[in-house]
Amino acid sequence: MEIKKAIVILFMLPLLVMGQDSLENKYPKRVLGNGMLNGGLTFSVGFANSKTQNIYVQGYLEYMFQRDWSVRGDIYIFINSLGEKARLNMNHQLSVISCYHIPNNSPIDPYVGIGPGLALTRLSDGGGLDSISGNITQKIGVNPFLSFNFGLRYYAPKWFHMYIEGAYILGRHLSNAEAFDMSELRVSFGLGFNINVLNSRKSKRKSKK
Amino acid sequence: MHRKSIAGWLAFVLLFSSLALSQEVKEPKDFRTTDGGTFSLGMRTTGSFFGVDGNPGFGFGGQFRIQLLRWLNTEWFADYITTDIGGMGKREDYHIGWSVMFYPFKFKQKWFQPYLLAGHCFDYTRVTAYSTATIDNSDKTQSRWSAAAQIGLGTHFHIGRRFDIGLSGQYMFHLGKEIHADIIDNAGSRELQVETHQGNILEGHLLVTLNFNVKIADLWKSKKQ
Repeated sequence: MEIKKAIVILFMLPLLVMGQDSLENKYPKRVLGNGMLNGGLTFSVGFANSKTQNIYVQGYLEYMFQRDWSVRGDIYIFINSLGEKARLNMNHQLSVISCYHIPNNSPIDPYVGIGPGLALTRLSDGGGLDSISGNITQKIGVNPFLSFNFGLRYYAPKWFHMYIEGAYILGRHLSNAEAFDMSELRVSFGLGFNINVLNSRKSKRKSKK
Repeated sequence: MHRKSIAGWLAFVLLFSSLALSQEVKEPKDFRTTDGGTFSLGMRTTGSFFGVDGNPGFGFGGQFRIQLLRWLNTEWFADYITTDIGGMGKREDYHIGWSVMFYPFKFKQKWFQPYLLAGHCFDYTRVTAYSTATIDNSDKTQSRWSAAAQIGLGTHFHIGRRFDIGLSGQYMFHLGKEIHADIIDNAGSRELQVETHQGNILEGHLLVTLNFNVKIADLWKSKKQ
């Protein structure tokens, strides 16, 4: 009986030792890993002030260069505003965010991120006089911003994840007329897809062999 | 016989364990202790302070780095910085340039790596006065090209084998045609006056940059092997 126990322990020992090396083994329920590609498409609501909400279609594509760090590209397409008339009728944005995924032993992935972005913005009202045409024009401005992201994902096995996230956009609208603060808090949730590119490559190689 | 079979099993298990232990868990390459050859790619956000117009600016940009030696790195960057001039106009700065980064200190901690930097930059600046519903100020737009030199210091925070976040401060001197914008009080109404002057002058601003980088490749891997 004792010998059997010894055998079991001896079998387990190397596995335990090997397990110390990686987050995946340290946190076996963690789906996230090096080489994971995530993507998602959803609607996002931006709260510029208490009276106006901006609606966007939001998409992101993210690659995990490390088990706990990723880089993602975000795109926001401005659709419309709710409530009081918004000061912008165009606010399309593109950003590149670096994210830290807090390690834990569960399929839940809390993360925080920061990154720069560029916005294409245009005033909805007002504008500047164009003396040639005699009209008041609102030119499109290209404006940098900084994005602070935070969120939570829940990974279902292998392919899907649900997420809820927030982003604080810090920036200023500048164009041919009036300038103002375009900072806002955005909230979004939805369904995302994920695939581990490195694992699928490995399995393809194996199947070829 | 029974004891012999147990001993056999034990030997097998020990052998198996040692084999399993000898399997190396594949980790991505650790770029924090490189002797050179690292190529990295990243994005940045830049704040511009103490410029000629006195207003802070805010920018978006990117860079790539090629580390030549353990103590020497190079950074190639492009930035687009916008500055609101008191709500009366805007200044846009386009920078494209390069910096050499020296690592004078060798720390035991891998995650912290301060550096000194110096380099050159080419710059396009455009100052535009905002128009109003009654006044078209688009003819007040002025622009210039200039060359610049920068010097500063910063640090990398190596937060992983392939990832770093950096913070740097540098002072950039521009040599070019003078361009400046002044808000003047014209009979009770504020107006932006944009002027350029012939003849080159030196003007500068402080740039504070927050960046993140991913180490993509070891360019001299083949040579090392």
